[in-house]
Parts: sequence; structure tokens; C-alpha cells
Amino acid sequence: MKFKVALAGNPNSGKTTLFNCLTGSNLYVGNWPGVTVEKKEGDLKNTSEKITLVDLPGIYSLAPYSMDEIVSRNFLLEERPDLIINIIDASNIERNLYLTTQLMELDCPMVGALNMMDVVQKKGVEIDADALEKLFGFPFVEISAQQETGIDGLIKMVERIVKNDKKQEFPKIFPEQINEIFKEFENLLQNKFPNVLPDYPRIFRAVKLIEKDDEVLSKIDDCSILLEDIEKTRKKIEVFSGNDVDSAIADYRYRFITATINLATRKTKENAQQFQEQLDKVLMNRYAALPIFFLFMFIIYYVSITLVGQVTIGGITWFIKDVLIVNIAAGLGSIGAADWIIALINDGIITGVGAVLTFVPQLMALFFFISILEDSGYMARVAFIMDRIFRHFGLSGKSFIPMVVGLGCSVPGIMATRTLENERERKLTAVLTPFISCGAKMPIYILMASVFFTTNQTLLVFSLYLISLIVVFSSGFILSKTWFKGADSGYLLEIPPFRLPKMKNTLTQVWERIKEFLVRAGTIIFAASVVLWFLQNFTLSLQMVQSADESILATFGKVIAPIFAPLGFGNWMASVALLTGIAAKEMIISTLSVLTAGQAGGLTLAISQIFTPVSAYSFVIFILLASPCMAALATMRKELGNWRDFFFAVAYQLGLAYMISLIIYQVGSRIFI
Amino acid sequence: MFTLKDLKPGQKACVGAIAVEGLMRRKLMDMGVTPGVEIEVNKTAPFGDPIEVRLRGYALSLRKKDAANILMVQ
Repeated sequence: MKFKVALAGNPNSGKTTLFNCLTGSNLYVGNWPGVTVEKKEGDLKNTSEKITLVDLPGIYSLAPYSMDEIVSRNFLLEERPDLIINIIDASNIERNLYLTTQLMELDCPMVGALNMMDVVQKKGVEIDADALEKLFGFPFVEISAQQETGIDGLIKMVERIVKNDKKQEFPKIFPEQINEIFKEFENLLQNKFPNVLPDYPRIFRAVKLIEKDDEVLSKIDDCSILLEDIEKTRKKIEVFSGNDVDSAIADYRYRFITATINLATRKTKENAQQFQEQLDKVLMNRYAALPIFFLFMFIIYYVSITLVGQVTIGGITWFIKDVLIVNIAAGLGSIGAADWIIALINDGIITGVGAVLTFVPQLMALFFFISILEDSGYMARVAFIMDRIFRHFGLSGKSFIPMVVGLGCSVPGIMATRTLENERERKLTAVLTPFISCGAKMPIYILMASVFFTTNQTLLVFSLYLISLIVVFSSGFILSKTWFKGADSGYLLEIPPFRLPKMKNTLTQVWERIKEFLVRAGTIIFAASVVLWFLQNFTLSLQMVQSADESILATFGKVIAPIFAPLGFGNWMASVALLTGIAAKEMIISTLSVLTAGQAGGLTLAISQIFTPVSAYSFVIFILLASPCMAALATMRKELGNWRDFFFAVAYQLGLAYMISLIIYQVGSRIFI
Repeated sequence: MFTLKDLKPGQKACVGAIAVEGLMRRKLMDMGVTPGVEIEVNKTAPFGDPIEVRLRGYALSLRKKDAANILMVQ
């Protein structure tokens, strides 16, 4: 028999870290609320049973507000797992147990995983897991997912409970009188409305109906009579509690929790959290906060682009050009391979794929820093700092997080918008996130910088990021008043404590991202380089070309090139590169390399002939702002939910990119002749 | 009568009532802002808004406009 076990808990309580521990996977982890936006499945390891573990997006309660939270709730309600592992951030136990009191109403066996016990011990708090078990009616296991302690105990506990059919008895959380009112309401439902959500767990159904939960009410066809009874029940609760229903129910839950915590936890020493506070004082200082943020970003780009680049690019280029290509030509020549095969391999595949691989060390450095930023807890703080600014532009501080994720890749960036509750802000953020330059676009900036702007490489790249920020803000301002009009949602964001990123975690994430990059280099870019080489070396009548200008690609490129002429890059090679960039942004640089392969002086010389400094800048601005690659476009379509918004977004992105490049080239070429 | 917005960093008080309806009200409750709970203001963001408060052993940030709807008692 195969068992299904759900991992449920508050945002940022360490679910994904635990999931990776329990299944041996390498899913994406970060230190801000809302890293996981989709449910993920994996098989529990180190067990003889067949157990599928499902990692759910974090939720604060079973009242769902945002898309990712609805995923969690629907799974728990509709798929009825055999067991819920309720992961609880034990260093924030009070707020975390609030969800626990709601999960207990789902009528499903539970195990409590008290996570971050290492932090709890450092804070000088003792938690008595046995006492908690007595109070809550289900077992608790002390673990630290990050330190990987207590995991075996948790697995054993899970095995024991899924095989045992003895029902867990959960205690009553509410006062006796309130329980009576619930019971009365339940009986009324059974007798008078037997068809109302019969499959839902009894207590959950009663509580959610009394709370007038929109999702639950929307599932009932005609609820006018039922609503009358609900109102009567609400009145009774209000009379008894002297409070409105929402406050009363939340208050009773928290009262139960406070009482249990007083019994089950003990403070052994005074809180020693001074380092956290000091760090916060500096990083969130009134005057220094923003400069510090930009300083961090500048250092990140300086180190990954300039410092790492200086060390690695020369060596890799030398290896590809002077070792690989030379030896392959010699080797294949000596076994009598045809010239065109040697050219295909060297000028097509190795040049195309190699152009992308050259930048792997720099991307590794970039991903390394982004991963550290994500794990440390700094992101939520920047969202907090930025909220005031973002609000003026129709966004919320929370929009900032998808954008930082987008620095790595737009796809997870766009997906991260699901944590925004407000639909208007969510869509707007999804449309704006591709304006933040992703890692795959970086190679082309570095290439152009190394040809035209040798003395100020970091500065040039940094100027691009500033421009993208300006575009994000001004577009937010314009679009929030036109296409994506509407009210702003509330902003309510948990600020997690700072955590020292764990090196193993950071390196795993860097590897996962680089792996994706390498896979693309080995598949899409490999195939496209071959196709490009053929298109470039044959004429329309399928003859080998004498000069590249007669090729199929050139013929085609020359048709579209005039579109880009006003922007300064009406060269057919540049146009073709932009087109192939739709498949993947790294393709732009591969395409230019393949198209100029075999020319004396190589890529650098060719580029300096095709572009001027001004048209090169206009070219990178166009790449920066124009619509993202296919994968990101597909994600954007999915998150926007309709074609109308999607086509608008693409038209907006393309139009804006064209306009800004046009201005830069037309103005720039008159100033710097 | 004063609200959470009136508290300065370092000051604390207890929640009396939440004077806002709808989604925000429920979310505040879920986050532990219920009548009687003690809230301390940690800090104000560099640009003056939002604020960060501490309650039930964790840090929560919210905008002043919403803090103004949380009525406090000593």
C-alpha cells in the first residue's frame, strides 16, 4: 500500500529544507515567507514503506488569501492525505501552533515536527515534546532540518502512524459553551442540509461556514436559507464571547495555545539575541539602509563580473580556441574527415556552446551571492525598506522579492509573484519582473563591455541594472493607473530572523541553477548551433556558400534587419541573434559567435565592426528590456491567466524596448559621433 | 483612545480592538493580532513607513495606515 503524507506549516518554517532531508531532493530553499509556491512530491527515503511526501506552500491559516495558499488548502481538503506532518518553527512556536489548531479540525492523523530546535536551544528555551503530545493529542518530534538532526526519529514516527489505524483523539480547543454551539450547528447541517459539502471534515465544515469563508460558501449552490441559520449561530457566539465571530474564534485558538505553551515550555536563560538586533540596526538604519543595499548589489556584480571574469574568461577562451578547436581540426583532419564536418563541429557546435560555457564561472559567482542573500533573511528586510517606494508605483514591498529572484532567472521570479495576495499587484509584478535582467542575459553585456567599454565594465553593467529599475518603477506607475488599475492590497509581512546561510545548502542551489544552464547549453543551444551553422553555410538552393552574405540566414536576416536599423543594429547578424534569443537568451551570444566564426580576428573584432559603442549600448538595452525567452513567456502566460493580458504585456515589453533603444541610438549617435 | 500607529519604537501596549473589516481583519487575526495581545513597536522603516512590531515572539511588518486601525489599551 502506498501512503500519502503532506508536509504543512507556516511560510518560512523550513518545510522545503525538511522535504529535501526526507526525500534526498534538492528543491529551492530561501529565508523569506513564500519560497514554495507549488506543491512538490517526492518519496520518503530510509523507509521500507512506500510513502509519498508532498511539500505544500506555507500557510498561516486554513483561510486562504493567495494562490499558493489555496493550493495547500485544496490539497489537504480534497486529496485527504494519510498523515499530515505539521512542521512548526519552534523558535516562533506560538504563531505556528495557530495553524496546528486548524489542521486538527481536518480529521487527519498528525505528527508535529518541532523544527529549528538548535535555534530554540540557543535562545535558552526548553520545549517539552511529551507535554505537547498530551495537550494536543498527537506526537511531536524535535528536529533541526538545517542541521539534519532528529530526522530518523521523525521518519520512524511517520512509519508508525501511517501503519497504525488507531484514531488520534484531538482535544477540544474552544470553551464548552462554544463547542455546544458548534455541535448544535453541526446537527442542524446533518438534518436540514444533508447535501452541503458532505465530504468535508465535520468540525472544519461547521467552523468555516460559521466564519462565512468565501471559498466554502462559493461551493454551495443556494445558501440563502443556510445563511439565516449561520447568522443565528454567529449571534449566539457573539453573545457568549462578547466579541465578533472572527475575533472570538481566533482569540479562543490563541488562548488555547498560550495556555499549552505555558505548560510545555520553559525559559532557562535570558534571551541572547543581541547580535541580531545590532545587525538589524545597521542594515535597516534610516540613512544607511538604501546605500547599503546598493553597495551589496554593486559588490555582487563587481566580484562576479569583473573579478571572476578577469581570472576565468581568458583561460576558458584560450582552452576553447587554441586547444580544443586546434586539436579537433588536427585530429579529425588526420582521420580524413571532410572539411565541412570539421567546420560544423568547430565553427558550429564548439563555438556556439562554448560561447555560453565561457560565462559559467561568472554565473556561478552571481548565483552564489543571490543564494546567500535569499538564505540570510535580508530579502524580507529589503521588501520592508522598499514598501514605501514601491507603493508609489502601484506595487507592494513584496513585489521586490520576485524581482530579486528574477536576477537569477525570470521563470522562478514570475512564479514567485503568487505570494502576492492582490491580483492586480500580482499580475503587474509578473509583467514587470522580466525587465529585471536575468543571469542568461549577462554574457552579452560582458561581451559588449569587453569590446567597447573596457575601462568601466562593472559600471556599464551596473548602469543597465539601474535602467531596468527605472523602467520597472515608471512602468509600474503608468500601468497601475491604466491597464492594471485597482485598489492596493494590504501589506503584512513576517520579518524572519537572520540566519547564517549553510554552505552545503548554498552550494546545492548554485549547482541546481548552473545545472539547468548547462542542460540548456547541451540541448537547445547545441541543436540551435547546428541549425544555425547549416543555415549560415548553405544558400537557398542548398549549395555551400562562397561568402556568408549569400546564406539562407543572411537572406532571411536581411528581410528583418531594416526593422532594427533605426536602433543602430540593422546588421543581419544582430537581427538573427535577437530572433534566436527568443529560444534562450544565451543564444544571442552563441549566434554571434557562430556567425562570425572563421573570420580573422574572431568574435571581438567582428563585433567591433558590426557595432559602434552607441549601437552596442542600444543593442544591450533592447535585449535587457524586450520580452523574455520562451520559457519565461510561457510562465508569464500561465501566471497572467488570460491571453488578453499576455498579449498586452508582450506588446508593452517589445514596444518599450524598441522606443528606449531608438531614443538612445538616435540621441547618442548625434552626441558621440 | 490611541492606536498602534501612535506607539513609538520601544513602546508597547495591548490590542483593544481591530477597527477594520474584511480580508485585512482576518489576516491580522491569523497573524496573532487578537484582542489582549501585547505588541511592541520595534522600528520604523527608513522612509517612515511601514513599521515593524513584535508580538507572540516574532516580528511582523505592517503599514501605518493599517496600524491606525488597531486600537490599543495600556
